[in-house]
Amino acid sequence: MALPQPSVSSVLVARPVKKPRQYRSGSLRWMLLGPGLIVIALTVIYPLAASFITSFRDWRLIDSPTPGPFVGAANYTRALTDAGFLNSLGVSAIYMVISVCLTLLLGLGIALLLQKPTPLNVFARTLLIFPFAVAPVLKGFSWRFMLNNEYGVYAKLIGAIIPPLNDYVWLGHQLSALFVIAFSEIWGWAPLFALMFIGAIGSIPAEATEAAKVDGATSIQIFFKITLPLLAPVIYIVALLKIISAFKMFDQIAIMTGGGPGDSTQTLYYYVYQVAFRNLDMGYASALSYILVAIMAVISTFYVRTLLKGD
Amino acid sequence: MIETTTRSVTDRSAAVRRPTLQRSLMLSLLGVLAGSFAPISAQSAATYHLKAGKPYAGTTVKFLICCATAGQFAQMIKLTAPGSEFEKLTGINVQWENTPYESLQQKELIEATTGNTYDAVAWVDSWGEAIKPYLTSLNSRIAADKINMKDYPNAYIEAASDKDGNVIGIPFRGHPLVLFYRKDVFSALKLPVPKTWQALIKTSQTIEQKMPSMTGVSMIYKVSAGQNLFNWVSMLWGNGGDILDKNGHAIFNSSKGVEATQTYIDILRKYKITNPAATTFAEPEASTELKQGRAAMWVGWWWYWAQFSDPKAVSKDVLNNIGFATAPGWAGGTTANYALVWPLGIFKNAKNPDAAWEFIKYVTNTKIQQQVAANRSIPAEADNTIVTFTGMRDAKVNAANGGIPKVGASALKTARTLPQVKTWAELQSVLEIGINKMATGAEVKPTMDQMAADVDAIQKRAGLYK
Repeated sequence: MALPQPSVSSVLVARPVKKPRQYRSGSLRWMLLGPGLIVIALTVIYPLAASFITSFRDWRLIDSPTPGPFVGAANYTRALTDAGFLNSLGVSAIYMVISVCLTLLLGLGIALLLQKPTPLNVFARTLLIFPFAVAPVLKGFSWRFMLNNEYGVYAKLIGAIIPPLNDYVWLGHQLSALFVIAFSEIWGWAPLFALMFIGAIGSIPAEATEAAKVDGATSIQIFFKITLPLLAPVIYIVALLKIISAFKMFDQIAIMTGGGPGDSTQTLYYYVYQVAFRNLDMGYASALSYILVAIMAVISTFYVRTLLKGD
Repeated sequence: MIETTTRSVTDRSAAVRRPTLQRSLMLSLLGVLAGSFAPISAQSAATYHLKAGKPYAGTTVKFLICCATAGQFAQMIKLTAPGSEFEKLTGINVQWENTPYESLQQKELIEATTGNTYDAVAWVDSWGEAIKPYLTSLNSRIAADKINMKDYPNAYIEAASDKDGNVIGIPFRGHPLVLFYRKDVFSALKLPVPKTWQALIKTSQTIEQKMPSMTGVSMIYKVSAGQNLFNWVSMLWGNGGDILDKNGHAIFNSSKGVEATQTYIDILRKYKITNPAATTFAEPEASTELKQGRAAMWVGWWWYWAQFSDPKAVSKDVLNNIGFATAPGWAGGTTANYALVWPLGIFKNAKNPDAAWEFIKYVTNTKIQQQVAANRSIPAEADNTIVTFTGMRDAKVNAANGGIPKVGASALKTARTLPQVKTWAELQSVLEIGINKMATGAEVKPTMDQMAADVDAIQKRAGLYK
């Protein structure tokens, strides 16, 4: 006996689809959002606005507890002739180039070495995340210790491989100090990038490389003609991420060199810290911070746009 | 069943507790008796120039300071804690606000200008000029209580006074620089202890010739809170130079200044009698060179003596082998080393200035300072620091600290303080970076001229001159 089949209309009548409750008034939404917005306003918007206003005022904490008179753009124009600021801008730029290039190269190298999913490689990939998990301050202390010319393991290792570099004071020379600080950062970031690149390499269609092999392409040709172009969007995104990170460099500078030798490792962040919390020149430090924010905003815009476009 | 067990356990514990309770009561009684008779009977309020009759009983003095782990401070905290002799004599409670050193100056400035939370404050000499306008003059209080200010080194008083000569702080903790040296090395090589920097260089060269595994002297050249200036100013002042003139202009690039600076840099670059890594050495690394037996000499703060005599802090060959002398002077010049001091003052907007003064009198009193400096019962709190000449020459204090207080007193007779200018933090930054640049290869004279130009620009911007 055939069972009676319910008609579509009867089902619809019997089980009406419940529409989500519509809140015509936005009051509940605002009530729910309100606490969060207040917290953001107090902790982000107000300090940003206050420091922006301060950047146009003369305020040295050693002179006055409250911000002094408005000085127009004097704090911003002062930056243009401030040797310390211009030096820190240059140091940050050089550091950024060293740090970004070496991180990408090393990350890519590690990725190519570990791309095949052998058990050893999978184990090695697991270990890759650990350096990134180390706190920057700890990296600073560890690297300073490891580079000590008398008992540091890295210093001794390098000295054993390249005898003229035995007893070389790595943090005592301008260029090597900057390289060493960059390496303390690359040590953490390159493995992370390697993991990203391994994922990206895995998503490259095998047909493309197989076809190239059939056509007689060498491994180097495959890498430069197929792998690298297909990795380009990922490289672009991680490079932007690393540029932002490089500009923020502070911890290792403070721990390893204190900005020295001389002021050769004094990055933008470190210089702003120096002006604000050592010299107690709050007006000028605020202006420098906003210059820094402007630089970061340009880079971040590129980054976000790239991410959204998915190129 | 459960109830029975519980009761029996309770009964047993009560039985066990009873004699313990009796013992505790007896001990408490003894403690009260001892507490009543020992310190109070020995010392009265007048002993420390404190007001009789506890006029500020129940008042809480809030004290803004850092570094509670420093031996002297750790002992002082106990001496002014609830139940302490000070509390019994005055009825005043003291709250030590242990602020991290890195943020202390900023906190003091903000408190001085806008707050009224704290009554008393301790500051480092070179920060003083910025907060001195917000501290109360102690002249009348000093006169009323007959505090002997002549018992303090001039360098300390200068750092604790304002431009008009009013004393606004009482020296609380202070350090002269002393020359620490390896007694065994000097004895084996039959070397006299150098009295000038020039002699120190020659001595170092001899040591390095005879003992190639050791550097002559440990030095500080790193950019690190102005630490690479300590020995530099000693050479500069000793040779007749100075950092600023009376009007605040930079004069450290004078011929005398350049000569002194050249010598300071030559220790590293020309004579090579210090570790080449000294360009990356701050105070901890430089002192470690001596502690671990890699250097024969180091000019540092006298409070390091406690560490050099601690078996846990030094290598075996260094332990009990460290001698000390006043820091070197300049051959043909004078001996004028930097002395660091922490004065103790009262904020103008303090709620309890009178009670704060009682507290200041107590912790800066020579007897209390002597008691602290002579107490080495807890190694971690042992501290030879003492600020009055009377205290530094005290036999008991010297016996407890190997005689270093006497040597400190000698060094402090001619010691000086850093320029008392409100822009010092900025000036220090220029100077320490310049020193480090020269240590890492920059030419001395042009670098010093640039430093002087930078210092003048800072002074001008601060409105100190046109």
